[in-house]
Amino acid sequence: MITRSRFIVALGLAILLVTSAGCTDSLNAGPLSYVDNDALTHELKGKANLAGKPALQAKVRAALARIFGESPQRIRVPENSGFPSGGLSLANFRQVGEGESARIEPIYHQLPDGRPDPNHRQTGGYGLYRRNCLHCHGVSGAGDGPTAAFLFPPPRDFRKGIYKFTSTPSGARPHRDDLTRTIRDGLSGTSMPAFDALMTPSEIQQAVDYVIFLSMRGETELALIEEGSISDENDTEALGEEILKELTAGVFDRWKSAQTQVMNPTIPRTKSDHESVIRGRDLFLGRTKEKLECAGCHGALAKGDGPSFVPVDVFNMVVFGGDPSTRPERVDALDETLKTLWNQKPDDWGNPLRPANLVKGVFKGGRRPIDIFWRIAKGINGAQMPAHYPTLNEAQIWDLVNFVLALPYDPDLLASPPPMPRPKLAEAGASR
Amino acid sequence: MTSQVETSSSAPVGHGQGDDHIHPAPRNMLSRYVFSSDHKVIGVQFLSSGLIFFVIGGLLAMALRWQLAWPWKPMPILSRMLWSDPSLGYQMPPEFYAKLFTMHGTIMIFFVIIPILNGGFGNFLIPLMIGARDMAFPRLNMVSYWFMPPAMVFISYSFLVEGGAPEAGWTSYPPLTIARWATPGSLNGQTFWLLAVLCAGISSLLGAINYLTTILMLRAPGMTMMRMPMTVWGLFVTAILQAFALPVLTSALVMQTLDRVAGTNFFSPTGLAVANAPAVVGGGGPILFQHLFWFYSHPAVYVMILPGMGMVSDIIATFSRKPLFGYKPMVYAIGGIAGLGFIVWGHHMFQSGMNPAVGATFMLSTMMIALPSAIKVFNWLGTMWGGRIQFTTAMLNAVAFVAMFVIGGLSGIFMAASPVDMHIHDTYFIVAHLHYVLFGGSMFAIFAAVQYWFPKIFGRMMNEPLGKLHFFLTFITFNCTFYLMHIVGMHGHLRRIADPTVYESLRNSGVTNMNQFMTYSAFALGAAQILFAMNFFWSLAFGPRAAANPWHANTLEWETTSPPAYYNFARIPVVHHAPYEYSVPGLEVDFLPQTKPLPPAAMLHPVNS
Amino acid sequence: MVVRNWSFLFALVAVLSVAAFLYAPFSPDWWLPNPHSAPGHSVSSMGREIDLLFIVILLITGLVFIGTQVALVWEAFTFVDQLDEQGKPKRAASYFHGDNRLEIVWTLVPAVILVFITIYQFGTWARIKYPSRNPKVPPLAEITARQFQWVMRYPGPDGRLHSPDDLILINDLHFVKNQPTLIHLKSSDVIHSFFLPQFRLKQDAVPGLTIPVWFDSDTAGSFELACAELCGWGHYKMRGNVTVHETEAEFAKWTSERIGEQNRDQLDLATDGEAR
Repeated sequence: MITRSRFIVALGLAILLVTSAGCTDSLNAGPLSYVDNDALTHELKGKANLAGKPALQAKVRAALARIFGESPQRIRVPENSGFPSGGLSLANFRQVGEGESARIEPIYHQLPDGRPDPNHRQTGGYGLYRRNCLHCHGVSGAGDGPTAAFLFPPPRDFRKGIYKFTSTPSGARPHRDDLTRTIRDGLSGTSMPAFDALMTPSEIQQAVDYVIFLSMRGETELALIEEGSISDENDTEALGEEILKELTAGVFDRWKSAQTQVMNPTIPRTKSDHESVIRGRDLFLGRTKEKLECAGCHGALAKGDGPSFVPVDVFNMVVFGGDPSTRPERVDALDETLKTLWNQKPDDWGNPLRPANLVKGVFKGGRRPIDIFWRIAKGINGAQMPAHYPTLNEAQIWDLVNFVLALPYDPDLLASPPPMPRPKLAEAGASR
Repeated sequence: MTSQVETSSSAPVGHGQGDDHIHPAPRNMLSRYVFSSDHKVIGVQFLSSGLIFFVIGGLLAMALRWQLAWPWKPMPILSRMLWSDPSLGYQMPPEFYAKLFTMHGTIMIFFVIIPILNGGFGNFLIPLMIGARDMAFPRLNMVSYWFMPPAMVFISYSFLVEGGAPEAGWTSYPPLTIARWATPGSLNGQTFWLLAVLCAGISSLLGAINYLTTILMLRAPGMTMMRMPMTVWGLFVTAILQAFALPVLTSALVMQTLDRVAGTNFFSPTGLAVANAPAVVGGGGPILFQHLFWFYSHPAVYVMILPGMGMVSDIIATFSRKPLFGYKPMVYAIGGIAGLGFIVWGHHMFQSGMNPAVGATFMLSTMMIALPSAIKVFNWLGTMWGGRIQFTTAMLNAVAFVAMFVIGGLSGIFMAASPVDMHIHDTYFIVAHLHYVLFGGSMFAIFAAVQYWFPKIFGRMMNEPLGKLHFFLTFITFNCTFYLMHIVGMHGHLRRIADPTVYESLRNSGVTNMNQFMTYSAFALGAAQILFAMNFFWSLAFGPRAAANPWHANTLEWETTSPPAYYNFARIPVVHHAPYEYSVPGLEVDFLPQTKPLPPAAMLHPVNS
Repeated sequence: MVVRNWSFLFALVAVLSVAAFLYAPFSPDWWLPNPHSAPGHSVSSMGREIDLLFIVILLITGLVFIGTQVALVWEAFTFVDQLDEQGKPKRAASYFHGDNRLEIVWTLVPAVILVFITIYQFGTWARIKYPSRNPKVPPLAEITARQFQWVMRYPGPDGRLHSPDDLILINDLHFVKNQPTLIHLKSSDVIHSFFLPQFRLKQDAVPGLTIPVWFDSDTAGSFELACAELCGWGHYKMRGNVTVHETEAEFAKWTSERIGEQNRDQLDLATDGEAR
């Protein structure tokens, strides 16, 4: 531990020159440059922006280059960013030596005889991202790769630091393991594939590092834009060193603190018997004193067609009814009520949102009881699913979990109230 | 020996074979060279638009090879200009790779090989070789060509629509093509692909009707069916294939178009939902499209090779100075290929989920279709046997056709064996096979035919040394490019994947080196075609004037001027004997044109083999 | 005479073509895909049959290829047109139109060979693909292809598919050595193709159909699953892992671990990230 922290002090500002180290690697060929956040240069309605403030824009760019590196090929690991091994796996370097004599060197793939093959440098998070993620998530992690426009749900924009499927408290940054699971297992029901068979576990960790790196960069950029939007263009002191430090520290701290805040249920899952499922159903239908409004979004039959959202066919018409570029026109063509409803319910990234159809048994954030517990207890960040803990106690949440997991196999649970006990459910309890 | 050209004939005496009524050529330049109903002009139009698209299709292939050799490495200049942007580091988006191979296949098949062989040479040669003044339906012929430009516009425009060009391969299997959100190219581009192929298909269909009528009705006096050159036989049988198979493709394309734009469900299974898009009612069958598609597209393989076989037969006989070995077996073989060609389509679908018992039946018919192909190869070898082989550029390309077609034919046997096909289906083995047939076969036949008939088409000779250099480089680099695909294919290299290094079994130095070697060879192969273009254009302008019969060949097209007059023949020729009477003992010259009556001193062997 | 040299060009290409296939068995990177430990050995019983058929066809076609190329090259060398000093051909071409006996011979001989090849294949084809010949075992899993992954649904402890205790995994196929294994292949969107290169097995997954597919392995280890039918922009990345377990017990242990993970309701913070 001591070695590592000393190492970070010694090389805390390691500039990892991917370009110079990996000329032979085709993944590193060609220039790659970050794309500015729209808010940096464009007038955005209702959002902080730096349109018309070129001096501040330049300051933001310079600050980002200084903290995170000028381009994806010149990664600078920010001090105190909390990356494991000092962020070396971003470009797959490793530490050689200890203490004062510590230096970094690239990791190579091994030849069959075990020697490192100097022609095949391992790519590290940056290279893995470039190869596997770039064409959807974009070079800056803005979810704007060339394939992105044709996907629904759209690829995540990392730059807010908000991730939907997390184990940390509502609104908090995700734990590394949340991102690991997402990359490893993919998100069922979306275009995010599982990379389990495409990357090794250590490679997935490198990719996680790079995703966090892009998030931190994007969050810092946003924070600077927000700070700049209330500053004067001609103020030479604006976005100065102190503020910068404060902002980045805030960004890093949010990530670091999330790593210790994973929500672990204090009581084990209730046995999934009929009684528990029925209790869960009653919670779902708002028949308990908590008066939950699950059915408002998920629908009375849990088919994802509740009245709080536009009807499914309207949604499909807008999202899938034509070219992605003409979607705003299709929204405009809706009648006033529908349009209002539509505009009320985007996610935090401004994308259309659809409540889950729970009958299908496809759970984007994972099908383990604990995954569903997290979804219910702490909601889905950035989406309209609220946190239900501590409104509900943990036992109640487990009842809901049991209900949700039983529903795909027994859709009559909602169709024919009150359902009679079924032997099938009793024997099929999940907590064995 | 060319008959004197008469300026015009007087009183029209009606139409029909043997009469000397001649229409004057149109004076208007537009109707003479652009909207022309002259089969020769239409032939040249098909040929030139085909060659232009050959360049486009070839360039797409270069980009494909780049990605396969160096996955995701930005291509200098082009990636910057055409398909990528800085935020992607100029690397190729994976869907763009799919666009490339889809368009490469579509263009090479529907816009290069079929139009050049059938539209180009078919139009130019059929009336000349059977001694007719024009096609039976000249206007229909013109319409047939003018269905091509809209097809070309549609296929090119598909790159520009939102989502870009189609990405479902030249086979366009639904539901990938009918689920609009399945992949960006299926959003809009696929519709334009369907329209383009529909137009190209109508063009071929109109041509086929015309060829059949012309060959059956307008043969010169004495030109019995069994006196027709093999080229005409090849084109005749091709036209039969087109006429009977194309309606099926057309209906399949219309059904797919309706599925896409009118909400029908011919090919979508019940409740199909792709990429989170809303589910369709469904009730259709995805495999149905494969049946319909291959019912045309397998015969289409023969559409692409039979005219080549015919032309190569002519060229080999001419330059061996010998009668074609086994004329009648050759004709029967072409007929056999056509007949069997209609009952083998299922071998494309061995792994498709079709009943395996049906697969076993198709295995037998597919094996049997190798037989007529083998007979043809043996007969070509027999033709060369004992000849005086003159290695002109045309002959070299024709011999290369035979050599390469043998490889393409033999590799087909692996695919025909359905258990072996289980392993090599959809791998590079099949890519190698189809390129040995379509490039090694059809393209070498096209090179040979251009070199051979260029004097007749344009009235000037092509440059022989340049042509031989082009042949030498093409033959070497072609084999370097495609032969190793057999090897990577049997090693499990899948076709249509943008990045082989995803798979561990393909992430080794052997496969990588082969991929890079094939890419270098492909670039060289592409560069070698510049020589062909140079030769073509240089000869067009500066080539020495061609005599009427520069190769001392027998068939009728050589009995008129080079280039032929508007009316082809001043007097409809009378045919006296079979087309391949070379080196007849007792004659002073080693050839005996079909129009020349047999001198009393000589005796012909009967063509009864 | 220089024109003769063209025959050497054709000879060169033919020789190199044969050489490539002669070299291939000696390089594991060139030959049919096999495990590193046994480069000449396909792991599945059907794979070994297919390899045999492949080699039989390779030999037959190789001999035909050599025969035709030798004839072609020899003709190109021997019968090339040679001119004497006066520019007259040294030799006249022979004049004949064919030979019926020869035609019959070279029609019948290939026909017999082709029929032989066909009949020789029938048994293997039937054994692999006919549903009536499938092993009579309960399915190991239902594999549903979707863009761009393989969803594997194992029946779980109750042995029944589509019950609440099903184990659902992505891109992870496990089975036991030396046991004929049956899966049900489906697709939830477009057409995919289930391809196990080391097993020589390929079967399209068609939406709307459930297709039984069986295979086995005589070697434990990890192999690859590929998608062989173009399925969209991500077709190339639709790779799955195949693990063949040495024993039934090992497989059972793996299954119960995976089911335990699927039923996880509390976090053991120390191990979660690595629990896989």
